[in-house]
Amino acid sequence: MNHSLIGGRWRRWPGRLRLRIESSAEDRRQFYEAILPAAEQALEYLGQFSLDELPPEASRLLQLMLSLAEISLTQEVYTPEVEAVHARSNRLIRVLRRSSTAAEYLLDRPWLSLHVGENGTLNP
Amino acid sequence: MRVLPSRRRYRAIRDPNWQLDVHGIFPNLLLEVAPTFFYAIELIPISPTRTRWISHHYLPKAENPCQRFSQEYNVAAFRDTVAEDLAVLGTLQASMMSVPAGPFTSSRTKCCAGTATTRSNATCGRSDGTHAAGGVFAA
Repeated sequence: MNHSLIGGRWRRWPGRLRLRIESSAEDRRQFYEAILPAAEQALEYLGQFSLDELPPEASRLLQLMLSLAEISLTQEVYTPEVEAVHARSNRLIRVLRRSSTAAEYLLDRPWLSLHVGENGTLNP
Repeated sequence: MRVLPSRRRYRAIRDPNWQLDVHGIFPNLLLEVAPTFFYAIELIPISPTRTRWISHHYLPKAENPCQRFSQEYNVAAFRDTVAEDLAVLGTLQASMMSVPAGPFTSSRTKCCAGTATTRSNATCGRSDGTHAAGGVFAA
């Protein structure tokens, strides 16, 4: 696995996406085949907890399952060639995660109210 | 702001095949509304050849690990779709930039744009394809 890109701009990406982009097709296949057989059992186990009360071992298991969600696309949906396109384009995407609401998005853009008709419908 | 669906929209969202509504608001905003997410795309020109694409994707807060897993899968799939769009648009912009200005620029540009789109789609299936995504988008 090539770690030369770790650091600098790559720190902007979530770890799962960064590792997916940097890993080889063989690395992704091995991970997928190792985790998938236990996925159903793992989700069943995780289902007994709420997100706010995860014990440490369940939290680590959840991180593995989230990695499976990311990697499974490369094994079940895309060919390696298509995944190469994703890797190139994802370098142009900066992903930010924060807690806010769609209502806040609209409130930050008061000019959008110009498009709301008298009956409350959205008028593009 | 209060947005209510019209009577026509009420009929549409009762359709079992309904997935989401897409509202295009001139000049640079797309709002996509679905039962499980709200999505907005803003396209902001920052130079004659560069555009900043800002996407806001809102999801309900996951209550348990299984919902979190499902959301992660959907967000990853959605981000990959955006990445494919970027690959196409990068090729399109590079093709348009290759057309010299002239009396027939408009029609020639359209012709080249069609070629670029076709070539870019082919790129998705080939590892040797190229796309000039750099210089078009600033994340």
